[in-house]
Amino acid sequence: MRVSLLVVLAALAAVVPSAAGGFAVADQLSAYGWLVIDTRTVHLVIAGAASFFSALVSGVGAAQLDRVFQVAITGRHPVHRPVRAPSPAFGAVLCLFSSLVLFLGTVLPDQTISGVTFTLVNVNDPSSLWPGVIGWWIPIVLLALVSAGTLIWTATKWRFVSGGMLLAFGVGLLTAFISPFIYTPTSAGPGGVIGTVGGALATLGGLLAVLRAKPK
Amino acid sequence: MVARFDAKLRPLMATEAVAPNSWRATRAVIPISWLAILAAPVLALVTSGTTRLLALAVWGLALVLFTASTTYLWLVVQADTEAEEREVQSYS
Repeated sequence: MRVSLLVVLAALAAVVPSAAGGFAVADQLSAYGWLVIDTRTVHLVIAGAASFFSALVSGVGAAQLDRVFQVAITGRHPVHRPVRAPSPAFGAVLCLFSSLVLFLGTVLPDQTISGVTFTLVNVNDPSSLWPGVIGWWIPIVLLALVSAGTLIWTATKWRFVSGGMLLAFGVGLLTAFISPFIYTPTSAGPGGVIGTVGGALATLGGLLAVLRAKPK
Repeated sequence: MVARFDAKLRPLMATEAVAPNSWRATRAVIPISWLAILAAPVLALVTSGTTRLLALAVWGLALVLFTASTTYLWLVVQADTEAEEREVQSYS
């Protein structure tokens, strides 16, 4: 997948509006009483997920259009140019990054960094274990680990086409930075979104790496 | 640019036996659905009741239509690429 400016802009353009839509969905579900756990954290997670999914749809669609445009404008089919395969250390670094944001977002109790309070799970309060830890933290950690393992395995067998991973990385990172500021940080605020996005980022990167890889 | 796009891609669509109406519909759906992806969720946030439900429905529909239409175009071009590669291989 060749990543052009068109693809990056299309993906980024969908991030903020879709987060707004995610909040609307959460509010609506809450109004119907369909949210089993109706907390601000859950609303944030829904908004983050909607933002991420919509950016993915927009970015992938733009990538497909980009290819069609190339044929239409130049009359030539684009050529796949596989790049040099990253070392397995790339997967490890991605995993480390995911673990770091998860740690910052979920484990540190009542820490305020640059005015943002990272307090999703209070380790001294067992009642905060659900949904904070069991609900989504463990699944996200597992996803991140599976993702990193997949990346490492893929790097041993296949040649990466890195565009998809770069797209996932860029969109995920931007979402992580924007999300805390589009909703008032609270005691159950931005950490969850950052942690979720970090894990989802690694997972998506791993999936795309496999889907877009070519044999060595 | 749209005219050039149309002129170049229409013959390609013809070789893949795509009906002209399908081509025209696809070409129209892509920009409309993408704009809906950007506008509908914001509308959903600032409204309530039936309007909000309608906006959310439009958002979901736009996501599906955008994905379907861009994938459809991409698959057509992909099929053409593969046919071209087979043709080159048959010469060699």
